[in-house]
Amino acid sequence: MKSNQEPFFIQKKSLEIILSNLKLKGYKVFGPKLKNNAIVFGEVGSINDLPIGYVDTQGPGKYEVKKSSESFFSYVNGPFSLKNFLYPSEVDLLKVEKKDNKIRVLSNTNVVEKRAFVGIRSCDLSALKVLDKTLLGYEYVDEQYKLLRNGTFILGVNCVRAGENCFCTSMNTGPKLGDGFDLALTEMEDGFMLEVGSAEGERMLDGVELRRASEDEVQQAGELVERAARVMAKKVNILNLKNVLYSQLTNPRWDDVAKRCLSCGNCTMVCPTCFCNDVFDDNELKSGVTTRKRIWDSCFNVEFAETTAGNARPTIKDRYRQWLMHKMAYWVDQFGTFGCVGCGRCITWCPVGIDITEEVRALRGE
Amino acid sequence: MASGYSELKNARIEGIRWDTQDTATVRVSLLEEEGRKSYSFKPGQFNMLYVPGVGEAAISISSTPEGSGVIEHTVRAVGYITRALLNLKEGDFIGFRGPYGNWWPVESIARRNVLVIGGGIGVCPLRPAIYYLLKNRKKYSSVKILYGSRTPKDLMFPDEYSSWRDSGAEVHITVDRGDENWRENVGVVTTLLNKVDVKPENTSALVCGPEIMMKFTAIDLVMRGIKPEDIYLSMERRMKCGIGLCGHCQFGGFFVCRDGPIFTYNQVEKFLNVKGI
Repeated sequence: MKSNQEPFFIQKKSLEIILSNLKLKGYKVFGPKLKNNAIVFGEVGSINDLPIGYVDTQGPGKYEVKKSSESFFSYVNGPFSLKNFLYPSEVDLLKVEKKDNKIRVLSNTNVVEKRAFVGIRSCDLSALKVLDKTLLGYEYVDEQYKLLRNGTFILGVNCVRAGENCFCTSMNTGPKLGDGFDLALTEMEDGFMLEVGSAEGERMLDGVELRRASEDEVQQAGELVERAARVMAKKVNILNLKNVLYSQLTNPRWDDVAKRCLSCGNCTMVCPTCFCNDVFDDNELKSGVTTRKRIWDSCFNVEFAETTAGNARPTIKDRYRQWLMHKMAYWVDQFGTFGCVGCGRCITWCPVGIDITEEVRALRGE
Repeated sequence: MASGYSELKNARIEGIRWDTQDTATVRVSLLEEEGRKSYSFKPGQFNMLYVPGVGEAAISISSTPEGSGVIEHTVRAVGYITRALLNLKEGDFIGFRGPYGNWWPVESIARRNVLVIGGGIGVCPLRPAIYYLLKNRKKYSSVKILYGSRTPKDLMFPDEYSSWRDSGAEVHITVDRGDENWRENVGVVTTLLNKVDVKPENTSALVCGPEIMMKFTAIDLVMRGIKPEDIYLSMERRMKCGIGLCGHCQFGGFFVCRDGPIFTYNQVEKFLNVKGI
């Protein structure tokens, strides 16, 4: 649901009331937190848990945070995304009991709490829509994702600063939040512009001192976001991108990037849409109950495409090509959307600083 | 919408028949109360077989689609799951879900000449189609089966070739390397195409085997004038979930489990021609 009302203007400290309303209404609240010198998502009790004033500097294979402002949301994205919570790295799929030689599937006892996520950027909200199409859009759905995703509350933030590795403007995924948020903030010098995206969002405004944002304020907030878009340095040309890449499967650039790529899989771990997984049996020897667990896998793992007939992608070149082609081309055929939202995490967290935007540019011959 | 992983049924091992040194056919049946009678599949589909405490593997169905209640899966013991499966014995129960995937177009190719071309254990997912074609032999102009393996010892289902012939199929067999007793063709499976009369405008080909064999078979068939959209290939990729959720079986813009495993040559040509896709 798109913002259905005129925006409000609130004091920054009013965010505290919204957080406590969320908790009062039964939500467990997660938001950005500083941990081990990186901004990750974790449980937040109050606005004092937010990394207020911290700003990140990112580059290919580079990430640094420093306290250098008074703003609440000057940093962009860290290594975590909604994927860590809605599609966690390890989840129980089902339990199987073996009795009298026969198997019995035990009912899934996962209890899911209501969760609210604060400080979600447009790229990550877009990634959620990609995951929805990918995991819920076809005949068989990912039941665990469906369970964890249901009833998720999103308090979004429009980016007023572009990170060095961001390219959401190219992927049409930001920096302004599209639909799907419950509440959205745009940080201004002396307060937040607040947009309401859902009835549930509106319910969290009890006790918040609200006033209609003035026309000037609305315009100013819009300009801040537009400026972030304008100064965004990284770009990908998506014009006819799928077909262009399909025609470049034997481009020598794949050999070039394969010399740099370590095949470590970091990019797939931090990617907010990478969903490839493996399932393994965790056996309790005493009870004889087996838990079938789903864990993140990565197309960079050497055995990922191994079959009886051999390994379909034995070289790093094959595996890097699979990953980039999946994000930027195959995904379009498979799920009707790009698998990339331009968050830039794969660039930041690549230990050798491979930049997907540069690789695409080279493959396009630009 | 359907749920996937938890749809496991019990399947009783009715027997394991070793076909070659490393390949065996596992015969299973579902329990009466878990849908033994209602279970049906089409030629070319696969099931997920689950060895409790070990894991699941996608295995194509190799028996006739005419339901006798016993479903056959032919398995090469290579990984830990297939080895565990083949270590089981009659009366053991495994988990079972399926059938999944699309199927050979046996109905829509009626009245045509059908070429069935198999390589190695690739003949296993073709076997249900062979049974179907021969049971309905009158519906097809001709049925020709071309099958090859590495050595005579690796040939699958050698006892059945004469019954295939008796049911109205032309059957040609080849091996890459013969032995002292081998009297038939030696050479890759495409060499058998020179032995049969191919009428390109009215022929459909069903092909399954190693990827390299399918690629060169398709190229050969196209050179003989068969349209790429009349050449059907059953692709092999690592299918971990069977239901389009794990990402393992990707083949270019396809999920082999969800969009296949059977594709026409024109769908996959651009990916088959590049190594390492």
